[in-house]
Amino acid sequence: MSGETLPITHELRYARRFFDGHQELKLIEDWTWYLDVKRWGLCFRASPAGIPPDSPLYNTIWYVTVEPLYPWGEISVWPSKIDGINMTYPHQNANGTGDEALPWRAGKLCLVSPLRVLGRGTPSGEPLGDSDRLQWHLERALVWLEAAYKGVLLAPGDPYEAPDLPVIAPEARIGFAETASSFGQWGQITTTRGTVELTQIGAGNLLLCKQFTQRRLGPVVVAPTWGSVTENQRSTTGIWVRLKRMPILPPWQLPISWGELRAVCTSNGDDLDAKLCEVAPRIRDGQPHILLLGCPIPEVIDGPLRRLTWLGIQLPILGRTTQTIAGFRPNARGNWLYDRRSSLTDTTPIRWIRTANWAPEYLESRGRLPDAITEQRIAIIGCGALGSALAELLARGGIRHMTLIDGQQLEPGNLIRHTLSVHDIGTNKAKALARRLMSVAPHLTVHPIADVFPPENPPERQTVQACDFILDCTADDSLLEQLAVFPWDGAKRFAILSLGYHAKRLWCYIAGGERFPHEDFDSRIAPWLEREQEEFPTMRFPREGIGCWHPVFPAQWSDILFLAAAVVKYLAGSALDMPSTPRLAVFSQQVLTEQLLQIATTDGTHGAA
Amino acid sequence: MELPTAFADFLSEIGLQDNHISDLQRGHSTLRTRLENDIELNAIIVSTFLQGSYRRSTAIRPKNSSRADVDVVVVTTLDPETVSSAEAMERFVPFLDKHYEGKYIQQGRSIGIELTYVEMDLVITARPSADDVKQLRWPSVTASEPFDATNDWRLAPSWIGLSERARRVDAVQILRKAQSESEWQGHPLLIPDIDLGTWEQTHPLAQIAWTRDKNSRCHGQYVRVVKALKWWRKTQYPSSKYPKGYPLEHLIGQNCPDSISSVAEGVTRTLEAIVSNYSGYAQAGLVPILPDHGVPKHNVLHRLSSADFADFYAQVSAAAPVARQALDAEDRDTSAQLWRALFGSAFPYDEDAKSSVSGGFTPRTQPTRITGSRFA
Repeated sequence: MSGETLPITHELRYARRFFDGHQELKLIEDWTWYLDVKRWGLCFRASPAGIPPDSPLYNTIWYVTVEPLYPWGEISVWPSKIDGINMTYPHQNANGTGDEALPWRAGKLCLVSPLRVLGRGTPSGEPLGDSDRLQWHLERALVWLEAAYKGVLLAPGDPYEAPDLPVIAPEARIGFAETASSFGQWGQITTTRGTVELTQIGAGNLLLCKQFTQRRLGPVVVAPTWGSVTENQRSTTGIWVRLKRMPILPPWQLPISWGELRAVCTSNGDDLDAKLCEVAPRIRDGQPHILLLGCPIPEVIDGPLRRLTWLGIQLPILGRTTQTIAGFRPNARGNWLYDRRSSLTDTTPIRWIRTANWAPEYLESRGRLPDAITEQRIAIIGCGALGSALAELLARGGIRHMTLIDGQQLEPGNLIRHTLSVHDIGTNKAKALARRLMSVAPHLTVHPIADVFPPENPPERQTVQACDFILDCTADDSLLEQLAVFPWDGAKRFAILSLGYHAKRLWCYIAGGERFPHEDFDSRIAPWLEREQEEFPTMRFPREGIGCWHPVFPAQWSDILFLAAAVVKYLAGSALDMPSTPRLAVFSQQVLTEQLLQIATTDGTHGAA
Repeated sequence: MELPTAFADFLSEIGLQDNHISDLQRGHSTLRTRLENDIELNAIIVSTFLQGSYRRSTAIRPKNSSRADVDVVVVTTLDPETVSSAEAMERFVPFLDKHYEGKYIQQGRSIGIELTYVEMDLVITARPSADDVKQLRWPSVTASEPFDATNDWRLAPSWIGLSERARRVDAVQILRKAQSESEWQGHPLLIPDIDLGTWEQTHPLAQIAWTRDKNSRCHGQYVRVVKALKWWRKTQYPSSKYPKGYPLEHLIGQNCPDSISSVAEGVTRTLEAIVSNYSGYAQAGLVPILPDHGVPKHNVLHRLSSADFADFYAQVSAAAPVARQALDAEDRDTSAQLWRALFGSAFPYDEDAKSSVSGGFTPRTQPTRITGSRFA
């Protein structure tokens, strides 16, 4: 709807100049301000030269919306409700009717994709901020239309993407973990339906697939491995059905009703109703449950099937077996027929829920540390400023096993440089940090030890022995002796990490072997500590509260993170070759010019800057 | 090329701007309200209404002075048999002195009122024919907007204007009724001519209705063609006098073909029509006679001398081929440059246009910006 009109800018006027005389695009409605969505929109007709005039894809009507800041901001192309396309194609959002108040449907085109099929004759990047950006988009829309007509929007070799969910029910979000190897496991299994245990994460509506069984309390068919985040959590039961193929209606849409779903499953050779009828008794308890449909998919279009993906549907509450429903026998089949005719009729809309693959290769694809370090079983002694920074950097980087050791509780003064929050004050630091880390890294298994090193009780000592890489972040000289005398049961890697005054420097001492070389550490660090004394002769320590004189060393969180981030790269790289001689790496902040700050790393033997 | 978006921008540039419109609305409503409330005059006033290019939607923005102008007709009950045209004008002097002292001037056929923000032309009429009195008070006559503010204006008893529609829940039914009513034709009104000492006929409502019908036959493009050609004349030949104003508009109206689909086509074919229709007159040194709509015995071009018409004809003859080249050009840039030759800098020619917001913009010849390399 047009409302209060903003003035039309010069850029908007120029933007549509290319319509004048254009053979394939015709301007139908000039810029109109759509107050509801705060966009300028214009309506045009597309008549691509590559499409024959008798095709329904020739002469289609579209809207394009831009932000007032054009040529900056978002540009979107939508099918018109009148005379626009009403099916969903690849590289298009689900094309439902969308907002009642707007004249366009919801099926926004995806035109900024770098895929080959859209690369016809246009330069590589979208010309953001350039005045002919609108023209760029609309000419790509023409290419899209021609590709849709020829059926080549999905080209062999393009990454496989499932169609957009038509309507999303907000009740739940599902995470599953499927990979090429779990696909192999599924391949060995003949069962095509059963129940799934869904573990609730956090207070919201997030559920992770814990294990798939054939019947409730029956043998586990497939169970992905998860980190500590799924332990001791509430579970609910869902049902699963494996299909032969993704239930996709041409051109590229998911069914919106149960009737469509049944029809496409039947044409794919799947008898959905029969399978649902068999598993439905497990969820007839008067509660709403989730149905997962497992579909094999390739990694690329026309590639071989490589893994299973799960689609999720929020089911209505099914009739209970204890109820007698008039006209229907009180058995599985009778109950199912009743459901089929009441809450799962052909016209009932499907309530799709969001699902996502949380397998590490997908979940962590944005920034995982190298396997060499993520496979290490890491222990961090000291969960203070430096320890918490390193622990979080490593956990988010994809470490699988971590043990945290700290005997102290979190105090308010710690907040200024720590990853924990006010909610953790008064809790043991190792326990609070473990709880935080398992929630940021769902595949991390983390053991907190609320004790000083070395721990007293045997299971905890065992846990420590099972670690490969021991990081000391205590800056406590006595601890070094404890490390030296602890009876390690094999060769370990040790890293002693500590910060200098104002966190100008970070020292990282690496050693390997069955014994921690305490004397060697002392001799290597001594010259550096002398230098600190020279550089900062009158170290002034801020105080933390009244009472006993309790100095705290000054350093900002930003400095600590800066150095911690630099040392993570070192730990994940060259620190991992088992050194024959121990070495000391020194990271120091250097201000070169006003705009350039760098971290210089030095091999500690040369004692340079 | 027809360049529809360029012409759309050109027309919004040369039309009355929002400030002009609000100024002239303020001017005429104040004048009309004052007239109707004047104790001396309201006894002799039948009705007031708007005429002129604003009402006919053919007004272009004022060029140098920034004041828009609007024409107001005040219909009186003065008997043309007993009251002379001069006396009729005199009757308004006390009112004018009271509200517009030092700002008005008596002209041959009207009173010009010059305020800081608007110029108004006040035309007084004598008593209308008795059958017309009621109709002259209809909303369709007294409306304050141009005829094309709605797509259904007609001189019908039930017709109501925009603000009235907004207030009534039964607006749809009323307008439907108005469409089915037959249109009132009315009779010409008499206006004073001081120089001749007589009352002369005029029929502004017929002119407005004719414009509406012509515009409708031209798919809404006629009034835009008039504006464009008025602008052409004003910018290319600023010192030319006649024809201008309504006579120029009338000439265009007589020569613009029906069923044009764009302003570009209308402008070109109108110029060509003038060249071909009046070649004989030009050669013979004569001025054509164009009967006024509503008062056919009046010649709209009566003020033109043969020299005026000859000059005008020469200007049109020079312009017509340029318009034809612009229309037939197949390249957008060439076409735009040619249109610009006719219409001046108000016609957008974006190669050298500057953005009014921040900096300039130029059509992209190479990627000016590397995108997709910064992350967070």
